[in-house]
Amino acid sequence: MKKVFRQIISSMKVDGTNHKTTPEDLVDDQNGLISISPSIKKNEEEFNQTFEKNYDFYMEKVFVGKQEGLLLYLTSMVDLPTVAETIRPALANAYRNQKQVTTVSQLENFQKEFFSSNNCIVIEYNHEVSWYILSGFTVILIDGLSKAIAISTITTESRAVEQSKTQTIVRGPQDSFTEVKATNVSLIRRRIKNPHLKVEQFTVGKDTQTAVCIAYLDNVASEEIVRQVRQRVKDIKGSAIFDSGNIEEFIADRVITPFPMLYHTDRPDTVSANIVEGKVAVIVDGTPYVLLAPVVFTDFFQVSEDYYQGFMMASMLRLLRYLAFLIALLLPSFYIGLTTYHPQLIPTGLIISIQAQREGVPFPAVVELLLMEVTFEILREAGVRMPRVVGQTVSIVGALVIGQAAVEAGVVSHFLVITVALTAMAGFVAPVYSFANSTRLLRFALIFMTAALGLFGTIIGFLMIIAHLASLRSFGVPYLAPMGPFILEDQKDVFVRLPIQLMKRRPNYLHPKADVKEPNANPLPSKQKEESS
Amino acid sequence: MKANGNEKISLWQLFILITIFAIGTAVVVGTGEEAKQDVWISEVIAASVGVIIVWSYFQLISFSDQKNLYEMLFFAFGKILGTFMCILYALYFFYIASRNIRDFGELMNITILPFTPMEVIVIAMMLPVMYTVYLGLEVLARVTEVISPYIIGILIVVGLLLFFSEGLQFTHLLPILGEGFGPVFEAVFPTLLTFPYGEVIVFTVIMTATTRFSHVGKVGGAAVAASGLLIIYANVIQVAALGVDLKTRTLFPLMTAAREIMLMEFIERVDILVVFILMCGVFIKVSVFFYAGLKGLEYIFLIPINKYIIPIGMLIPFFAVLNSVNIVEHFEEGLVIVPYLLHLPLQFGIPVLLFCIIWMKKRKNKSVSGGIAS
Repeated sequence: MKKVFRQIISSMKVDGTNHKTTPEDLVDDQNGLISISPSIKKNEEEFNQTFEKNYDFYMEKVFVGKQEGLLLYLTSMVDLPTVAETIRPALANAYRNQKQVTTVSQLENFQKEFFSSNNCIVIEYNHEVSWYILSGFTVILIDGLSKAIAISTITTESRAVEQSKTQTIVRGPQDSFTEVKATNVSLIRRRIKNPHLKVEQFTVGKDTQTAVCIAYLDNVASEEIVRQVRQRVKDIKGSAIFDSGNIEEFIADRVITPFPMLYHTDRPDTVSANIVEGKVAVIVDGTPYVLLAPVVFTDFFQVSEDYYQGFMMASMLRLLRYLAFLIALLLPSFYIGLTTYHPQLIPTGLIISIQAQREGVPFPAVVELLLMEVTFEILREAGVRMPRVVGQTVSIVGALVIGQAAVEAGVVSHFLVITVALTAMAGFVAPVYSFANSTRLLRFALIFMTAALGLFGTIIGFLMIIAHLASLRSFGVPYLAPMGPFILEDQKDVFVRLPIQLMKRRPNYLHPKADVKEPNANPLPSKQKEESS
Repeated sequence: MKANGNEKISLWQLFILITIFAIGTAVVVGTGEEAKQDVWISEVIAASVGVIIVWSYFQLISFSDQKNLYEMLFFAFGKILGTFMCILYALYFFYIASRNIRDFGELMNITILPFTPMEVIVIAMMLPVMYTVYLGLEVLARVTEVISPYIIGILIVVGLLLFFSEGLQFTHLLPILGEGFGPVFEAVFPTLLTFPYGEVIVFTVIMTATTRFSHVGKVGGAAVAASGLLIIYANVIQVAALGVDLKTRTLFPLMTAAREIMLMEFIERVDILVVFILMCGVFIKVSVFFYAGLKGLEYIFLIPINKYIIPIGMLIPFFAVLNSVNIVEHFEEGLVIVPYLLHLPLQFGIPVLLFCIIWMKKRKNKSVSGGIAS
């Protein structure tokens, strides 16, 4: 029975695209599918019962041509002016003309005549009625007919497209995604005007019925990857989906890992660029963060601005980001290792100065460091959570506590403050928040390893992290690609970015169907040409 | 039976595995003292022979229809003797793994962790090895790919830094062949030949897991040649930096040489980088041996290798500590006893024997099947 229903649903068209919403979860498990009753009285009772104790449920007896009918919607979900402008006049018009609506074909004629077909749909089951009402549609039930029509009157209230809050760039597009799925899809479509861009929609979450879209270029993206993403999104068995973070946990290859297994961003240009490269985007209704799959380790060091500025500067900044990653991960461990275990490795002058500062500090280096690191983490968390109004307090207290008072009180040394501050700053360089978080987590693991075994422990921890990274796969793509497995052709866009003329191919590790990315890219402008022109 | 049976590595991964495997400890640990300043000549000879050795191992595997070492042993010696041989090889691999770990432990003890007990160092070193082998051969290959540029890069940088800090005196390399070829060959056979080139026998377990097997011979040869070049490079900078006397007396010549580096009053104590090379080298070497040994146990007891990792992984550091009382005994054992008692028979003797038996068996089969056909 459900199978039949799925077919019916998949054959429906709304918005011109495949509207594969499957409100199956609303089907009454005991009674299965129930068709809409032809009796208007029965329907009135039925839906009054379904939506009882809902202040915003609105039901009105109307005339649909000669027939009696019911008009149903949720006042909180629909755009009331739209209802007044489109539905009311249509009904009035039909009544005036004494339209006969007693058969299905007449119903369809009625629909065609008075409503544009792109936002209107004929439905036949009770749970569909409920679902469309809940989605912000206005449903018209007609006496004597076991079918109804649902008209899209969704309110489009949302915040405007603003600047990206988490991934800012200097040069390049500044817009970012919003909480509304339709807006997000339009932001991508506006950038990729290509009929090969496919946006499939699914409904996930048993209780929330959240719309989730996957977008990809069907002539580029590897079929296997698209199939896996589609399958995993379909298989989600969760009850509540509020953010792409929920989806991420459901569809990731591995959950027990500190590293993010999907890339998330609120930048439409990043998403579009990755779709063109052959990745699949997962857009979740209700959140500005779009997921990209598959992801590899090196993706977390690239920002879209790398491609909007000169390749030399972009390459340097990219190398700087790798350096910052290593600093954020290793610097605290080096501090402990070098001051406690291997002071002989530091130039003599420097070690004397460090030890002189540490003279008054009553703790071993580990305690000193952990004290400061934890303080910093607390400050950071407070900075994120606190109400914006009290923002200044935290920065003042933080600057005083972390900067001066701790040193003056002799709890920590100056050098340690420099270490912690540099570590923190380096941590903020990471373009993707979730990746920066994994660095934060592993930093503490490495601190403990180093406290136990010196730099030897650091290297052991580092080797284990590499082994762990090498074992990860994101949708079948090795996480360390293109370094392990090493792919020579993909090196053009990993640690450095070469000029666009030299990057003609899409990354090999994504197994793209069409591997040439810049088919007609100009050759590098040669000296001769410049002279001749 | 095979838990990791379908794991495949690419040719490039095999290349880098063999290269790093061969240079892993050989560049840091001083070998070929007999040849004195001509150690690089011995190394040229040893590496050339090493290429032939790898090529022969490849031919042996192709000859036996792409069976790996253990399958060949079972095929050639039958069930009972084959099991015995497999155990012998597995134990040999574990023993060499424990020796490598001990090498490393000694280095740590005399350099950066003088007060830490050997047991702690070797057990800690075994942790990443166990974890990597648990994750499988593919992961081991990828890890090697990722860290190999650093190992090779640091090795080259150490030489360059020595050169720029005027620590290299190439007159140390003279006279060339002052005492004729005698000492040179003495160094080649058996020490240089068995360590590290003969140890490539362990790859007879892994070669069959390569995606394009027909190219393995060439790739293996190239890998040994590449590692030979790097070892020669290391030997030359060791001799040029320290002179023959000092080089022969120190246990880890590259380390001692790296201590000579002094540049701009800032770049000094670069020996930590050498420790890093040795650590990564040992890590990969031990992982390969450990994996190969466990694979042998898998063939003998038909239990997937992941079940052995913790017990055997704990035995290796135990033996590393127990093998010898001190570093002198450890090196004595490694340079005098092990080459003759273990390396020569297991790296060359048994493979030759294997070739003969397989050849005979094949001929017999051919004549039998030919007889039936006629």
